[in-house]
Amino acid sequence: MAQVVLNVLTSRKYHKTAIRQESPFVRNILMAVVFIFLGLFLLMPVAVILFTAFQKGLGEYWHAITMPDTLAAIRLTLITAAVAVPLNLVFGIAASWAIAKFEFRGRKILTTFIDLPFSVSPVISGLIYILLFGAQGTFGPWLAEHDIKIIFAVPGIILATIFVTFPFIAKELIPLMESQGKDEEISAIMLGANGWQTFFRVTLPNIKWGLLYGVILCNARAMGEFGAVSVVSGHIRGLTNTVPLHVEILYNEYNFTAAFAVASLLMVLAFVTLGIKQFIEWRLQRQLTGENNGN
Amino acid sequence: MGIKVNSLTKTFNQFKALDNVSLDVKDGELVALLGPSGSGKTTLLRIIGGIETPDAGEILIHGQDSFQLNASDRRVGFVFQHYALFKNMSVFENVAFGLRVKTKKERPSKVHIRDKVMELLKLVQLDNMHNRLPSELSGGQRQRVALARALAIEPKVLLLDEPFGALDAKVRRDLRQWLRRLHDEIHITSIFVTHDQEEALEVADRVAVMNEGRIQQIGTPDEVYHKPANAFVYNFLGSVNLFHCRVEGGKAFFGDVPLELESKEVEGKKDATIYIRPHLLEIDRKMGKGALSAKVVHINAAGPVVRVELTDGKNIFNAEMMHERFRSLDLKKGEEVYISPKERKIFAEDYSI
Repeated sequence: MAQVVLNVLTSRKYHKTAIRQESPFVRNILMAVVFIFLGLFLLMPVAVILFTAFQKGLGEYWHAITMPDTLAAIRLTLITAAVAVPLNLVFGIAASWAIAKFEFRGRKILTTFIDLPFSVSPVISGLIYILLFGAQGTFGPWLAEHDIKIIFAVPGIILATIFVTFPFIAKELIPLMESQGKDEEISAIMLGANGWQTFFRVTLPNIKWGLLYGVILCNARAMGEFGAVSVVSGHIRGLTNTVPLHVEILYNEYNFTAAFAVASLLMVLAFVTLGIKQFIEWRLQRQLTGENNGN
Repeated sequence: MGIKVNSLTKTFNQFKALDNVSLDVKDGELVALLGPSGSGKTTLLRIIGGIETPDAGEILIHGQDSFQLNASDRRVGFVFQHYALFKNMSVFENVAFGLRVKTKKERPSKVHIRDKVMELLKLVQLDNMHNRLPSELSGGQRQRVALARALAIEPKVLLLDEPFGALDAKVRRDLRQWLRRLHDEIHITSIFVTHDQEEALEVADRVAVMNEGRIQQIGTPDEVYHKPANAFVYNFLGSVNLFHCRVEGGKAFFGDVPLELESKEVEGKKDATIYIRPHLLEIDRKMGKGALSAKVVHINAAGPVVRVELTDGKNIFNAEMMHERFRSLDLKKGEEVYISPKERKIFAEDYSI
């Protein structure tokens, strides 16, 4: 949002000197359309969330977000993200390292598979786990025999979240690593560094901002995921409800104030994510221009 | 001692990058691998450095089979065309890298590392820039850092892949003279890859001219320049005029002018190609023995020599002469003159790059 306003401001400045391609009339219409669109589809919902959340006063708001069920939902969401994000971090680095720095059979197929979760509907992603681990699923009887619960329990939620957030970090790192080439790594090895030294001293510093960017996006999605998690969760209050699922339950019970109060927490997460993302983009930009100066 | 390469072969999907290449580099020698792109010179260097593996063949570095050693024991210094400096580290840390990653047992003390790095930076004349980041240096300075970094591990051999390829013409010339002087000082067995014949002839002790995955000739700059082994070498080492000619009765005919054959391989052939360097094509006002008549098409007098383009109606000739000679001839565009080769090479095969 702030980015759009900034762009509009700077472009206005440049238009004084640049050759005008559109008449001011067309330009104003276009800008008006953008602002109306933004207002209707972004600002209004945000305003509605805040308005409804605080409609019955601060006390009611506080009560809604400190209810035991809400706290349990927050705890579960944090646990899910705390497991899914690090796992995807390790996977993302390993996959992009392999794809960007090595030539091997199946490299293209791996790249395609990483994209899979993006092209599958989240509900289907959840369903896959039901079909695999559910009571009637492939491994269902075996799991039941050994008293392991995956579906309608925390492990299922974590698995579904990992699946859905699988590509975020790898997608961010692969193009970055490919553009940096592998000469630095080869140099490090030839200077006598082993694999870990090369990774921690040479590769990691070069990808740190891109990596952080991927982690932020991955985390936002892990905490906000609804579809896939909804299918495997079973909606047991206080046990298998994440924050987005909890919002839905509250809403369906006509508890609007509480629903919107909890939703406002997700909104805060979104704004924090945007802020960090903006900062990292700025750092990435700086790193890239620094590299290009004189190359 | 030095580097010994025995019948290396390397194929990339059908493409023969190296075809049974053997090379001997003496201890302390500086050898240039010279050739056009795709000639296999970089592949050869990368295999010697252990970055790539050959399909067949062996490499001995100071008598040791290089493929039996892992990268850190191989002690090869490698310098890339695009420097490949560690972007996130200062100049000092870049040079210190090879010492810092040593195992605890072998790693020198902090003071020792400091002294060693500063000594190397002094050698490449960058000791006052040790705190800078690579992005704050010019291309020539970066390449010197890369060289210092490679030297820090006291390599047995130094390999440079188009070390000046990314630099401006002027910096390039300064830096290659500097490299020559540096090599005279430290005498480390070195191989560098270049596609610039001037660079190879000026810097190297010996030049290996490569084409199509093979070494065409290896010799001192004098040898390869004055006694080219084949048409490719002659053609690649400088600009050249080339003409097809008939071979009859032990003589080649340049127009109607008979020329003596110097190489045996042309004898018995019907066709051959004459190669004449532009500065060895003499222009005269008077008809002399063995001269052809030609018309001046274009004159370019900007530069250290005057370039004259001529035609005899069929062929285009490029000639070069000193300004003095040009003034005394007083050539004008469109004039008829006589041309004769002071020196020429006749090869059976026809080679154009």
